Amino acid sequence: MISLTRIVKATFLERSRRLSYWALIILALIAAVIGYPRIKGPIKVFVLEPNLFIQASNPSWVPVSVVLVLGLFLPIISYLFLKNTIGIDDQNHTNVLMASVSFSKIKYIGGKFLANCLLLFILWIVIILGTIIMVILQFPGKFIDFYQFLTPFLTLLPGIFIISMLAIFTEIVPFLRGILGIILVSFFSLICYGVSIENYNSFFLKIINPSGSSYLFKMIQDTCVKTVGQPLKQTMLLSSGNFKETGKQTLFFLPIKFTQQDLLIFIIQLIICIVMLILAGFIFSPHKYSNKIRKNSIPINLVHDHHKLKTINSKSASSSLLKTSFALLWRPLSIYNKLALIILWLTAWLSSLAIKQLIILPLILLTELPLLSNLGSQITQFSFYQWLMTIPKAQNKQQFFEYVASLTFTLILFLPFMLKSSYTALLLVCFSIMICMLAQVLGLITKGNRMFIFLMVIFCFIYLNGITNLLPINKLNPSVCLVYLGVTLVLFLIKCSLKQLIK
Amino acid sequence: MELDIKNVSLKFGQRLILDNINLNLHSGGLIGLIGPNGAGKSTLLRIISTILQPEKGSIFLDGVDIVKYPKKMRISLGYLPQQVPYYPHLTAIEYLQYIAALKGISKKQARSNIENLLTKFHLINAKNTKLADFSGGMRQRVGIAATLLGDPKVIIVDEPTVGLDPLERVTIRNVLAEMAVNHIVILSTHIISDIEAVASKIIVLKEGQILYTGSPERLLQRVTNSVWEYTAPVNQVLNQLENVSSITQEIDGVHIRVISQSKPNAEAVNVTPRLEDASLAILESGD
Repeated sequence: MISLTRIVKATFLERSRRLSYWALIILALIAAVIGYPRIKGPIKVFVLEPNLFIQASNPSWVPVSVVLVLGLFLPIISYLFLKNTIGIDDQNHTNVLMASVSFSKIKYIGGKFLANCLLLFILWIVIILGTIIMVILQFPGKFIDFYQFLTPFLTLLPGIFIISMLAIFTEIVPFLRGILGIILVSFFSLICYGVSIENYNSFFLKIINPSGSSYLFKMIQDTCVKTVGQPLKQTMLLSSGNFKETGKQTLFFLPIKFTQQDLLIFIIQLIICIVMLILAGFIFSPHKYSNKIRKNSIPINLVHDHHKLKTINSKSASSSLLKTSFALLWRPLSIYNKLALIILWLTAWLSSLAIKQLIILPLILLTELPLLSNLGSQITQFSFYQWLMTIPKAQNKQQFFEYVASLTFTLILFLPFMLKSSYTALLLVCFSIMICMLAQVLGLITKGNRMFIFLMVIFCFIYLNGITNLLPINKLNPSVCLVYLGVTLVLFLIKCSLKQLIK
Repeated sequence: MELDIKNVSLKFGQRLILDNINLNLHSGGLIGLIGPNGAGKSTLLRIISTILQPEKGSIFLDGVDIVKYPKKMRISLGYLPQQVPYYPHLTAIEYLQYIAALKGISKKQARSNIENLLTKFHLINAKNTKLADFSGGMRQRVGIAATLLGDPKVIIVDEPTVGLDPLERVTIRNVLAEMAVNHIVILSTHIISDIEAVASKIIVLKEGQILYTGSPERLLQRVTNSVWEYTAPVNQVLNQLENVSSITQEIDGVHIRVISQSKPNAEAVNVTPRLEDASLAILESGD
C-alpha cells in the first residue's frame, strides 16, 4: 500500500535535487531584486500616480511591488516547472512498475499535488527572504510591521494550490498534456491578472485568479482613497514610459485586510482543487496499451551472407538531411496541430488586413509553437546530440539543417502576411530568423522547450492585447528589423560559444 | 590500425572512475572489455570515442593523439552507446539515411550500404516501420547498423546485446567478429558468452583498474586447477555458496561450479575452466 507521505517525500526530493529547481530558486531571488519599485532606468517597475505621490518613499512599497510583478509571471513559470510531475515517472519508467501493481490513484495524485505545493511553498519563502534583504538594503534603519510586510505575500498562497493542481490536471487530461495546456493555463493566468486591475471586487475572479492580484489592486485603491480622497488614475507596471515625478505626498500602503469572505474564497479554492484532483485520480492510468502489432516476427537466419561493405566517399547528402529535418519537425505534431496550422494558413489568405495582423498572426505563432519548441531540445532527448559528437561535423550539420527547415517552414506560414508590402516581408523574415535561432539556442541550453514556450506565450499574449509594436507589420519601423537581427547575432554567438565550451 | 592508450585516468568529483589505464589494441580480432557494472567500461569507451576527455593520459590512434585531435578518431569511428540513440518518428530506413547523410555518405552509396546492413541484421522487412514501434532488440540492431554505416575502421560498441534474445546476440557477435579481422572492434559486456569463442583479446576491468589484458587462452591458464564442480540433488536448498561460477540443472542433479584454490568439498572434482570461470576468478581475487 502506497503511503501518501512517501510519495510526497520521493517526488519532492526528486524535483528539488534537479538543477532546474535551483535555477528557479535563483530566479525567485533575482525576481525579488527586479521587483523592487525602481523608477529610474529604461524599465519602471512600479509607478503609482507620479504627479501625486513620491515613488517608493518607504519600505511598504517593496513587498507590494515585488508581489505585483511576481503575480504576473510566477504562476506561469511555476506551472511550467511543475508541468511534468507525472511525466517524471514515465521518463524513469516507474510507470511500468505502477502498471504492474495495485495502488490508490487518489493517494498517488494527492502525493504529487502536495509535493508540488511544498516545492512552490519553498519558493515563496525564498521570495519573502529576498524581499526582506531588498528592504534592508534600500531602506536601512527603516522597518515596517511584519504582518504588513507579509500580507501581500499571503495573496500568493492560494495560487500555490491552484497552480499545483493545474499542473497535475493538465498533465493527466490527454488533450491538455502538450503545449495546448501550457498556452491555456498561461493565457488564463494573464487574463485573470489583467481583468483584476479593474474588477478586483469580483468574487468569482478572486476564486479563479492564481496570482491573487485582486487583493493587491483593491488594497492599492483603498490606500490611495484613504490618503488623497480619490481613486487611482495612473498605475504603471514594468513600463518603459517616461514621466516626471512631481508628487509630494508620501503613500504608505496599508496591510491587506482579509475578511471572512476571503476565508470562504480560500476554502472554495481548496475544495475546487480537491475535486479536480479526485477527478484527475479517476482519469489517471499508468497503463499505456498499444493495439499495434509490431512486425517483430522476422526469422533470424544464422547462415548469413558475407557481403563486404563497400568503401564510401564522403560526398555531402544535403537534400537527404533537409528532407529528414523537415520530417523531424513535422511528424511529431499531432493531427490536430497540423490541421490547425493548415486551416489558419488558409484563413490568413482570405482574411482582411486587420484580422490578419491582430488575430491570425499570433494564432499561427501559437500553433507553430509545438514545432518551434522542438528545435534544439528534441535532439537532446534520445541520447542523440551527444552521440553526434562522434561523427565529424555531424552536430553542426544537424543544427544547420534543422534551422533551415524550421526557418523555411516559418516563412511559408508567414507568406500570406508578407505579400502586403516589402517592408512587412523584410520584418517577418527578420522575425522568423530570430525566433528559430532563439528556439534552437534555448533548447540546447535548457535541454527542454519550456523556456521558449514561456517567452512566446508572453509575446503572443501581449500581441493579442493590442500591443503590436513588437511586430509592427502595419507601421514602418525599420529599427525593429535591426533589433531582431541584432538579437539573432547575439544568439548565434552564444551558440558558437556553447559549442566551444563543449569541445 | 593501432590504438595506444597511455596512463588514462578520470575522476568524477572525488570518485576515481579510471585509474592509470594502459592498453595497446590492434585490429585482427575482436577485443572484449569485460567487468561488473560500475567497473568503468562505458567511461573508458566514451573517452576512446572522444565524448569525454581524460584528466590524465593520452590516446594515440596510429600515432596521433586523439585527446588533442579528436577529429582523427571521429573520421574513423563507429560508436554505439549503451543507450541507443534514435528518433521515434522516423522509420528504420529514414533514420539510417539520415545518419548516412550526417556522415557525409552520398545518396547512392548510402542506399546500397543501408540495404546491406538491414539485410545483415534481419531488418529488411521492417525498414518502413517507425522506430517507436520497434522492440528494444530491433532498435539495438538499427543502432548497430547505424554504427557500421560508412565502414568505420574503429568500432566501439557498449553492451550491444542488452535486451536481445539469444539468436540476435549470436548474429551481432558474428557480425562484429567478422569485422574485427581488419578493423579495431571493441565490445564491452558483462556477459561472457557474448565474446566467448570470438574474442582474440580480453580486457578485464574492475573499479577503474585493469586486472587482466591478454588472450583468452592465457586467462584460462591462470585458473587451471582452480575450477571445481560437484553435484547437489535437485530441490536441495542451496545457501551460503561462495565463489560460484555457475549452477546448471542437468539430468543427474544440480551441477555447481566453484572457483577455489583448494578442493571445496569431498565430492568436488577438478574441471577444465571456461572463460566465465576465469573472469570470475580474476574479478573475485583482484589479480
